[in-house]
Amino acid sequence: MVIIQSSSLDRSTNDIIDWLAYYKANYIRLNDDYGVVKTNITLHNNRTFINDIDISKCSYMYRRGDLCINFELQEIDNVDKINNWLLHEKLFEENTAILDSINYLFKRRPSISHVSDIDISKIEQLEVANSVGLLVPDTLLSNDFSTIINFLNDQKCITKSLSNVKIRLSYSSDWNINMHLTTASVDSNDITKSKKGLPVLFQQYIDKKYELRIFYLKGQFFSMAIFSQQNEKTKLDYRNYDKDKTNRNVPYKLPNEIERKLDAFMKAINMNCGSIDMIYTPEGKYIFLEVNSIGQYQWLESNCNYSISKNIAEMLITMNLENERFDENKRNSTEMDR
Amino acid sequence: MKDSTKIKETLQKWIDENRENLPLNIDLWNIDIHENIPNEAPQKMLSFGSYNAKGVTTASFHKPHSRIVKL
Repeated sequence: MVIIQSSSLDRSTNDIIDWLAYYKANYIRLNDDYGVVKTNITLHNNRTFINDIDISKCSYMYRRGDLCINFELQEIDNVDKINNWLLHEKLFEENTAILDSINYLFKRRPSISHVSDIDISKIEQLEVANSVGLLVPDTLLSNDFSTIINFLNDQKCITKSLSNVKIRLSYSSDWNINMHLTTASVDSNDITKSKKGLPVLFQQYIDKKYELRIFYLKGQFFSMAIFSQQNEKTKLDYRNYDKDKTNRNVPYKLPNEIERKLDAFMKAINMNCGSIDMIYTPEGKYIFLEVNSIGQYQWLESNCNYSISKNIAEMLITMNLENERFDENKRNSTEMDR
Repeated sequence: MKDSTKIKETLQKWIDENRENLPLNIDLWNIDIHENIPNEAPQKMLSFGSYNAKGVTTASFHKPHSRIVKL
């Protein structure tokens, strides 16, 4: 059995399912609205059931979303609203711990990606990348005003959100507010109004010849060059997409040395799948920016004719078959011992 | 004064009064004010049964690779 945890709106999962269906593999898709109603986890004989799905004999891929346990509580009579809310919050924490246990058991399966990959911070990524020999931009995470001013005065800089936070507020029945920070060019004039505030990420701005998007899958590299520099809108960050004048995107072969370092990096942060962003400078240097465990890769497939979805499906099926062979050998050796 | 301008001014005032508790780069954040248009027909969500998926459209000219390539 192949289990894919995803979102019902994620199209790349549909492509993987195409191949699983082609190979006549048994699969289940758990979407982010999938409520865990029944759980049976027994550690002594290593069997795990979520609802009626036996996850002790599966290969697994995490693509997007979270499992959930839905519950509705009526308020306790004669207990005030705050204490009823506290009761709800504490039970929610208990349910979260249960889901963490299920996620841990998924992690122990032969798998591609895991929900915990999302929690690896940008700072940890940059530090680990640096330790394996990859070049990274000068980076400052600070709210010390004088340190920030010195950093900004030393070089051209950008600022971005650590968690890609997007805020959506309902201001009134007629109006909504969206607030978010895309990668933005910054100098000392942009923060002089706020001499005190919460810490923020600043990075050295690196000139680009082109940008690279690399999909890493268990030691395989699917790389694409993005010519973002001819368009003012995409120059700072190709993700400020210009839908009327799209960037030219082409297949790319990374040098062996860079692939070796990226492979070491992914192993060091314990990720076996992810979308890596890099810069190729006019001076011929490769600069690592970040890895995204749930990044989109369909556009690499369509721009570069890569068979990523097919590879993922084949890997999941192979991992499942190896798992079944291991179980059968274990059963056979147990019978022989008798 | 247009409503959206008034809302932006309210937000700016709130930012100025709360700077110490906001990120130092708050002035670089994108702030968009959208009006809810009640007559807009809600997008119909399609269900793609065998994929256990939903969406408002499919990919144009989508033909599964498994149907194109005869292996």
